Formats: sequence, C-alpha cells, structure tokens
Amino acid sequence: MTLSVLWSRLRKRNKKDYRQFQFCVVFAMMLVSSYLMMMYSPLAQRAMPEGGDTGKMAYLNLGIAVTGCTMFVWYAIRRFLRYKSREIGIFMALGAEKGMLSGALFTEMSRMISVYVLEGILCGGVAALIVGKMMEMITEGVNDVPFGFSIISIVGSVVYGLLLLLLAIVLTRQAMKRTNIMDVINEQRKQEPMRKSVTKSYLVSGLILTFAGIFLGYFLSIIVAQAAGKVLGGWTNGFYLLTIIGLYRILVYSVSCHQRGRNPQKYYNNLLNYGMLKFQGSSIVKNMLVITLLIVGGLYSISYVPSMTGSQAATEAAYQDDYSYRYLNDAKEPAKDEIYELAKKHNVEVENYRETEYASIVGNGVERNADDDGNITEDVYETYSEYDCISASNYEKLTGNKLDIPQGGYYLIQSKNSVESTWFSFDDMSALYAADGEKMELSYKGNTEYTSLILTPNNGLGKDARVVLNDKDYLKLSKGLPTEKMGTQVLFDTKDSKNEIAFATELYKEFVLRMSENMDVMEYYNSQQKTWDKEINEEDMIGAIVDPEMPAKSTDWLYKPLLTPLLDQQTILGNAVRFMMFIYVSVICFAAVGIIGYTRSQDVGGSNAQIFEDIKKLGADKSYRRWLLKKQISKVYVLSTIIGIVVAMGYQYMILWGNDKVFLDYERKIMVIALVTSVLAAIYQYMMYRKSLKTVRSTLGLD
Amino acid sequence: MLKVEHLYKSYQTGKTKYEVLKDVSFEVEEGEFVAVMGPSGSGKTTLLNCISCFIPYDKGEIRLKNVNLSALDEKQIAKVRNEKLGFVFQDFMLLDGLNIMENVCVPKVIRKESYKVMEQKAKGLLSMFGIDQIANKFPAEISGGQKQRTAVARALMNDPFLILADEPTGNLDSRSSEAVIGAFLEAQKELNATTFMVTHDSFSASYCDRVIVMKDGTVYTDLVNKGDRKAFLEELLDVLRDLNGGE
Repeated sequence: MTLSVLWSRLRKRNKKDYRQFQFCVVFAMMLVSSYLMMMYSPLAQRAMPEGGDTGKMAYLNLGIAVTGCTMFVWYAIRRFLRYKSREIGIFMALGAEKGMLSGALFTEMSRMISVYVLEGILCGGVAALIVGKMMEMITEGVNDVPFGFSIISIVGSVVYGLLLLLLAIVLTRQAMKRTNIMDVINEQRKQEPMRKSVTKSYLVSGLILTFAGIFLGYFLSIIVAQAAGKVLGGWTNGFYLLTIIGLYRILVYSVSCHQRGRNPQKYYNNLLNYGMLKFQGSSIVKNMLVITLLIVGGLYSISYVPSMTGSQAATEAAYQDDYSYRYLNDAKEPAKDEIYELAKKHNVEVENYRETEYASIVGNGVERNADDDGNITEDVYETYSEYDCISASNYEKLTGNKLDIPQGGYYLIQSKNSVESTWFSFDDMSALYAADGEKMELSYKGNTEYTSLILTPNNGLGKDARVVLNDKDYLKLSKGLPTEKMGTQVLFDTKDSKNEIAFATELYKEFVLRMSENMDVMEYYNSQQKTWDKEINEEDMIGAIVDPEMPAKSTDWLYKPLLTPLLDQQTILGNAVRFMMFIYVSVICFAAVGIIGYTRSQDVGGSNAQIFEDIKKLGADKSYRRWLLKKQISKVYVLSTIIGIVVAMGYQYMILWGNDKVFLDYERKIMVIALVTSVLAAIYQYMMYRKSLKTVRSTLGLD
Repeated sequence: MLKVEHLYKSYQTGKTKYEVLKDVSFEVEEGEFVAVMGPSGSGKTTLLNCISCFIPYDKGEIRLKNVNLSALDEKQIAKVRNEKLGFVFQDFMLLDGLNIMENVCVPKVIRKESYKVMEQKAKGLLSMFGIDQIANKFPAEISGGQKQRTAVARALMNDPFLILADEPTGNLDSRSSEAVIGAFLEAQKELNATTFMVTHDSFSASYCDRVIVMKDGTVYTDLVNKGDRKAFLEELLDVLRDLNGGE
C-alpha cells in the first residue's frame, strides 16, 4: 500500500468533489475555447472587419468571458483544495512528509487540470463546430466562407489552459505553505470570511472606480482625440479593470457591511443572515462578481442584434427614395426606359423617376491619421480625391431642395444628424480643379440633407463627399471632363408590390453586370490617393467584391446601389454570422450564469448545513430557517443580477449617446429592447433562483 | 421542572435493534444543577437529545413544567427550544460571522424581539459572566473558555426553564472548565437557573447538586451533593470506579 494507492482510493470514494471540480474546469475551458474557435473561425472573421466596432465588441466580450471563467476556476480550485486539506492534514498528522504530500498533490492537480483542459477544449470544439455548421447552413445563400478551426483559436485555447494550470499550481503552492496541521485539517470546515473593516468608504470607492473605469475606458480616448488631437490606442480598454475592481468593492460592501445604524431593529432581525453571509463572504463575492460580469457580457452581446437592425431600420426610414444609385457614364447601365420595362416585366410600377448628371471633380482635402505616438496628424493634399459634384439646379430637380449657393460656395450633401468627427470635418475641401487644371477656391456654406444620396460607408465625408455647386461654377469645372468622369445619379420609387424584391434583385444583377471598368473598384478606392500616398498600391483596391446573383451577400464595391426592398435581406443575412455569434456568446454567458449561481447555491446550503442545524437547536422553526435560506440564496442572485443589468443598460445607453451625442428615436427603441432583454434575463435568474432554492431546501430537509 | 418517566429509546440497524434507554425516570427541580455521567454508550447523550426534542423516543413521557413534550408539533417544539430551553454544546456552536454580543443575542433574534430588550439583556449577561470586554470580538479571536461562557450567556438569553448542556467542558482545559462551571453556578445563584448537564468530567460534576449516573441505558444511581464538594467528588469517583469494574 503506497500513498498514491491511498490517494486513488480516496478519489474513488469522494467522487462528488472530484466531479464538481472537473465540471467547473471543463465548463470554463469549454466556454473560452468555443468562444475563441467561433471568433477566430474564417466564417466569423469574414463578418468582423479589422478595427470595426463588431470586432471591438467581440474582444470586449472575450475579455469578460475570460475574466469570469478564470474567477470561476479560481473558486473551484480553492474549493477543491479546501476539501483536500483535511486528507492532507491527517496524512501530515500521521507523519507523512510535507514534501512528499506536496509532490503528490502537485502531480494530481497538474494531471487533473491537464485532462480537464483537454476535455474542455474538445467540448468547446464540438460546440463551436455544431454552431458553426448551423451558421454555415443558415447563411448558405450569402456566405461562401465555411466554418473552420483556426490555428490561433487552438493555440489560444491551449494558452488559456496553461494559464489555468499555472493558477492551480500557484494556489496549490499557497495551500501547502501552511505548517500548522490543525489549520490544514480544519481548512475544509473553514469558510472564507470577509475582512471586517469594510465601511461605507468601500461602497463609495467602489462606485467611483466603477464609473471611472467606464468613463476612462470609453470616453477618455474620444475626449483626448477631440481635445488634444491624439489617439490613445487600445490600452485605454485596460481602464475597464477599474470597473471590475469597483464592482468587486460594491459587492464586498453589500455582503459584509451591515451596521446597527439608524434602524437597529432591522439590523437585529437580519443578524443571522448578515453573519452567515459575512462569514462566507470572500467566495460568495467572487461568485457574485463573475455572475455580474457574465450578465453584462450576455446582455451586451445580445444587444448587438437590435443595435444593428435598429440602426439599419432608422437609416432605412430616413431614405427618401426606394431606389438610389449612381454610375459612371462610360458604363452601359440600364437607362430609364429599360428600368420601366424591367418593372413592367415584374408587374411593378415605377414612380417619381429622376436622374441627373454629376461630375467627378478633383479637389483638395485633408487626410487625418494617428502617428506612432498617437498624435493625430492633418495633411492637406491639393489633389486629395475626386468628389461627386452636382449643380444646384440638378440637385433641385433631383431632390426638390432649392439651394441658393453663391459662386465660390458649396453645400455638402449629408444625412440627418450627421456630425463631424476626429477624422472628418465638413469644410475639409476648399478647392476644386477644372479639367484644364485651373483651381477654383471654394468655401463651405453648410449641409443639405438628403439621405438617399449618401451611398458610401464614410457617410458622405472625406473622399466620398458629395457636393452641390453654384450652376456656373459647376459648368466651369465640369467642362471638358471625359465620359468616365461624368456620372448619373438615379432616384425613383415603386408602388408597393409583392414583386418588388424580384424586380430589385434583377435590377441589382443588371446593374452589377453592366458596370464599367472604372466602376470595378472597392469601397475605399480613391483615384487620387496615388498622388499623395506613395505607399498605396492602387491594384489592391481594384476589383469590386460583389455577386450579381446574390444581392444579400456582403460586398466591397464603391458603386453599390441602394435598393431598399433588398435592404432587410442584406442586413439580416449579411450580418447573420455576426448575429449568431453574438447570440451564441449571450447563450453561453447565461448558461454560465445559471450554472455558477446554481453551484454556488448548493455550496451555500452545504457549507451552512451545520449552522442551520445549530440554529434549529436554538429554537429556529422551519419557517425561520426557510426564510434565512431564502435570504442566503437570493444574495447570490439578486444583487449581481441588478448590477449586471444596470451596468449593461448604462453602457448601452452610453454607447448610443456617445456615438453622436444625441439620442435618436431608433436608439430609444433599442433601449426599450435592451430593457425587455434585461427583464427576460431577470426572469431567467428568478427561475434559476427558484430551482436552486428548491434543491437546497431539499438538501437541508427544509421542504 | 423536568420530569422524565419510563423513557425508552432504541435504534434499529438492519435487523438488529439496540436499546439505548430503558425505562429511565427522574426529576429535576427548579433551580437545581444536575449532571448526568456514565461510561460511553450508557445513553446519556441520547437522553439529552430526547429532552432537547432533537430525536424522538419510543415510549415514556418527558414533561417540562407539566407540558408533555411528545405531544407538541414541530412549530411548538421550536418555540419550546427557543423560549423554554437553553443549550450549551461541547463545540460551542457560536456563529463565526457574528461578534460575541451578537452571538448572545441570537435566541432573541430568532424570537424577533425588540432590539432594546435584546441589547439590555445581552449586556447584563455579558457583564455577569465577565465577557463584556470582548463583546465586539469574533469567536475566532477568543479562548475556548470565553467561547463557552458566551454560549452559557446565549443559553440564558430567553430566561429558559432549563439549560441543557452537552459536555460543556469537554473541549476545555481545567482552568477554562472551572470558569464555565462558575458561569453555571452564577446563573443558578443570580437567576435561579436550572441546569441539566451531560459530562465525563467528575471534577465539573462535583459542583452540581445532584449527579445521575447511567449505565447501559438505565439510571445506575442518583447521587446528591450534601455540601462538601471534595467529599462528593470522592463519592463520584468511587461510583465510577465501581461502574468500570473497580479499575
């Protein structure tokens, strides 16, 4: 009989503790690895352009998931080591060498964590594969990138697994440092009391840190960029750690700071509840924090769907015309009569058809970039871009908006509520060049609103600015321009018809197939960039990504038409991968919340069983003990859910407001949806609470 | 005060039935300090658990101030435990998250009593047992003797008819044991408290008014302290020696 034989026998007879430990590690590992595998799959990466908001959101969620899962595993390791401490203490008391026991424990811990990490990665892989394949099937029509496992996600999962192993080694080392055998033996029975000197300042500092973290993490970079012209970079996200510390302090306060205060009767009525909470405070607070973070992550993830669709719906509602597109005149795009013919073929009635010419005229502009030190640089280039220019009279014909533009002045076509940003100003352009090279100085006179004419991702700013000129200026500047520098802007509506989508789909196809060579460029193509940016390889921007057969498929094309009947399909299917990924993240966050809350509740019951027995002996009847248990379990759920919801809603509000410093109608609707999802989250938590309470009641014989 | 009549209690393990208490009868008068002694397995802890209503018994009657405890439902039993009985356990059973003052208040907290009454009573008891200096300390910060005196104070919080003590000095050194027994005597003297104590410690038992000695589930003998503690201790030791076969 050797120590390892005894050890393995103990393992066999204490399966419950081992299984619980295994479940916690495998579950955390599965969450993180499946998230990494989803996020870094070619399918999701295609849907998350580098530097885009979606990507940032996904990384923030990853941060939340990793923090939450690590804390969960920390709790599980501590819990397991507490259970092991009694065995170790007894072995020590019977003369086993500490070094030998340490070695055996390290070996066992390392072996278990390694196996559990592998199991977790495997489960994560299976989960990601199932969801990835589902995504593939759903987006079959609009997506040609398959789901696959990337090396980075597997390496990331292994690195996270190693981190867990390291955590286990550090905690095991700490546990084995104790020399007092009685302490070691009693460790299992010991709870994790909260420090006693928690005062109101803990709450105040917690609140300050929470708000400071959110403020610095989100607004600091915006304020510095606007005020000092400096880009601070991604490190400012580190400030969110302050929020986590702040939340921790708030939760610590809620658990351990109960004073006699102004309502002593209430204090004494809740004395047992407070005392029990305080005594297991440290671990319960960690669990509450993890639950809070995962709720924030889950709600934040799910909020992506209404944000995206809401913003799209708001833009859609702002379009004055059903159809808007532009083309260069060297293309053989469908003319007016062809449009009518096509509409007739589909039993669609075209109304209000307008078309007008515009000219692509070279002008100066400002290029803003952040240098290596994060300072924003401004460079004015004389031949910055070719701007779409329309004469005031043609603009009136097209939109009905009459503009009185003096010679030498111009208006910028913008959508409603457009704002300047760190990167773009309305008056960036101050001169245009005629075909013969003559420079015409111009001054910005203001914006004119017409959302249907905003067709590019920069919202009609920078290189994509569309300007309205005085008729005479326009004539002078456009004179002598070759055909490929002249374009046509078309706007029209259709009468509501069930065949609109078929008509729009065919029009889309025709429009793509009939583009000219000059139109076959990507969104960020700028014909003038080569004159001021020696590093640019124009070839990289040539060759639009567009499928004439699949209008819903995502595109990268400067001349993408705006055909509103196709927008819903384009938005929903084009973003399907992103939607599903965020829904998936939300689901795993809430699954984790449920499991952690439930596990913690069992622990509350288990670790307090003796206290419940003691107070029974002191005369507490069943209803009192049930009330006490309810208080204990509700602590796991209520405050963490409330804080999670408040932080998620607050953050959502801040983002919606912070984007443009106004709160639009559709943003209000998004907040209402966020409120509804929060209520659903609260109902879910309530159900989990009821389930946990029922199980613990039964365990403690309080049915 | 307490009347136990023809009490029987057995445990069933598989097909085997173990008779733990067999026709146990005795009485404890108001203000008496009574100890129960006997070798392991004699049934003394089972007897205490039956009186405490922690476990049911097979036959017989336990009456506390003429109230038959077996006739009470669960809610009434909880009320009896809280209001009529006070408990002192070997391992103190203090709540580690509460300080000493708060621990003493627990029986009244369960009773949802007014905090003013609660605080006044607790302060008086803390002072009586000389633990008022540690009122704000937590159980982990005080000695075993202080913990047990806290438990005695807690047991007296609701002015119970009877204090039931299960090996209250079992985990203590002789000096602390003396202090705890002193606390019971103080309670008897000042509050006319009635105490029923299970103990292995002859020295502690020698302070009692009476000692019921049990053997194999029955009352072996009932010894009365005639006032000379040392003589009573000798008498006790003699009985226990007889009980163990004269070793």
